[in-house]
Amino acid sequence: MYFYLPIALTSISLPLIVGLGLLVGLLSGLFGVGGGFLLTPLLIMIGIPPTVAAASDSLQIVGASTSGTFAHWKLGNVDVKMGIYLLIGGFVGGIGGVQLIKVLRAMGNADFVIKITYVLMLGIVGSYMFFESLNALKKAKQSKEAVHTDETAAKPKKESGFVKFLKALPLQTRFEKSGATHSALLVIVLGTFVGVLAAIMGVGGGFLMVPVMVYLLRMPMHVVVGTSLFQILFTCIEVSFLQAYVNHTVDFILAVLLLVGSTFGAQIGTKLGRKLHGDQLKILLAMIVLGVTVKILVDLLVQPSLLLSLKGGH
Amino acid sequence: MRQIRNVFFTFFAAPLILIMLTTSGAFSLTSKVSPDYIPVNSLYHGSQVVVSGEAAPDEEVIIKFSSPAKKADLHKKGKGGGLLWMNVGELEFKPVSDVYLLYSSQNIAGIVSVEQQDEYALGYDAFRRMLEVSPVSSEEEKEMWVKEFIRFKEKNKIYGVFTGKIETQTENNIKTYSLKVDWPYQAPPQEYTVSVYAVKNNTIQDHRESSLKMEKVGALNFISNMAFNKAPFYGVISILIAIAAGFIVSVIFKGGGGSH
Repeated sequence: MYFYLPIALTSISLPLIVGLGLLVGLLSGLFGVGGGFLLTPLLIMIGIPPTVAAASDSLQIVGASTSGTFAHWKLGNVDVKMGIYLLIGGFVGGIGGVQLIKVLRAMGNADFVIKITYVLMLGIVGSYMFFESLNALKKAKQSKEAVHTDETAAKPKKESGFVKFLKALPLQTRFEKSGATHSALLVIVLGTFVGVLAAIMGVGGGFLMVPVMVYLLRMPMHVVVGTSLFQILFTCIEVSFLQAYVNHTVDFILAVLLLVGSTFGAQIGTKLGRKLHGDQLKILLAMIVLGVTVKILVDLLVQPSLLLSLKGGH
Repeated sequence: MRQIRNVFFTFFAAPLILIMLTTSGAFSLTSKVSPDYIPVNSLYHGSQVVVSGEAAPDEEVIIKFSSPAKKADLHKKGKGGGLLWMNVGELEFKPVSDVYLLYSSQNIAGIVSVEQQDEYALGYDAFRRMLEVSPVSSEEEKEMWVKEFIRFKEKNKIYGVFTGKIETQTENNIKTYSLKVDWPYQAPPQEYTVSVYAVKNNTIQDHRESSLKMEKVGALNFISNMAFNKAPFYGVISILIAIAAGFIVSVIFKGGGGSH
């Protein structure tokens, strides 16, 4: 069965598009990532124009992250206070990132910077998460602890000079759900950093925000997932509205079909995530991020089959 | 005397003139496009279009589908920093048609003169000669990007030059032709021109033009209009529906307590 899309102006297979939505929703519910870094290229690959793919993907993330946030909120996994601070930073960073892209485009090397940023960020984040989680799993196995909790991953091992510096920062705030105390300033700055990178890379930033929350803010993994989804929900609401209003590139039918899969996928992911430990989740996400990195690297090194492409997208 | 003249005209001259007309290329070319209107609804996945008609028995037939010429801006890929493949700029192609599908009973180069290929935009060679590409630094570079442009469009099935797909049959000194085209769903809804050419002695003897209209209808048209004419409303409604869908699925699943 096929559906013709009113904005993308192409016909797509219903099972294929719902399946893609299910896959990305599953990742969203499991790891708290929006999945834009994965879904947008897949949509382009099946013939959706890049600008429509990116904008419609953003709208489907609104639905999927609503589903995921609600599920995690019911489980008590959303640190709303932390989410709002990160959101403020992300909003500021997004504006800064868009301006930075304008400057780079004027200089004529924006695409080079975007691609290199993509590969470096994905590679570094993926590798770090992979090896860190692998070590944690090995240690856990060696000590043969009977019960593991995500909080063990969040416990600071040793108070370094850097940690002392962080504790000395002003506006120290207690984040009850995360079980941590941080300077509000630090949280906003980290949110800004992710916002800048997300704007440069043209993605929601979930896969960057999750490691920031885990490793820098030392939040428990299950709270990270819920809070990340909460933050992504609001970011994507803003992006979807702007894309619909300014560029007319949101394809409602495409987003709804993706949503059919992704909202269910997000629920399945959330339930599945409860059966996995924090380190297992991290290592799975790290493998997906590394897989995407390898794919991008191959695309960068091998001559593409077509040397022309439509404008827009990442 | 007048009676003899009338009898001569009725039984000899008139049929002779008719035969001369039909065999000298003055035969009136006909063409019919069926259907000439394609409604594009939510379940549209392409259509079949039949072009048929009559031509003189010694004429070749060429059929072309095209849309109004415009310019196209595309990203070009190259090696950034001398190492990595990425978008390295933009190219403007003009004049180009969204769809260019050309069918002929024989190879275009063998049946139409170069001048008339250019005049009627028949075949890729004519397309290459009249296409402007910018910015390019040399003819060789232009040639390369024109080839890439054609490959890019052909991959989407909206460009193509085909030989031998037109079915013909000659009976009673009249050639009937018929072409069945799987009209690609990638062709954007708009009005297309279907041009039929009758060719003999390297020259186009006659041609006919018909239109093929593709139009969005029903819910598809409603959504499309709203997206372009009531964009803020469309944006808000889309977001609200997405949020509602998320909530509904959450309620259906009724996720229990606990954590990982």
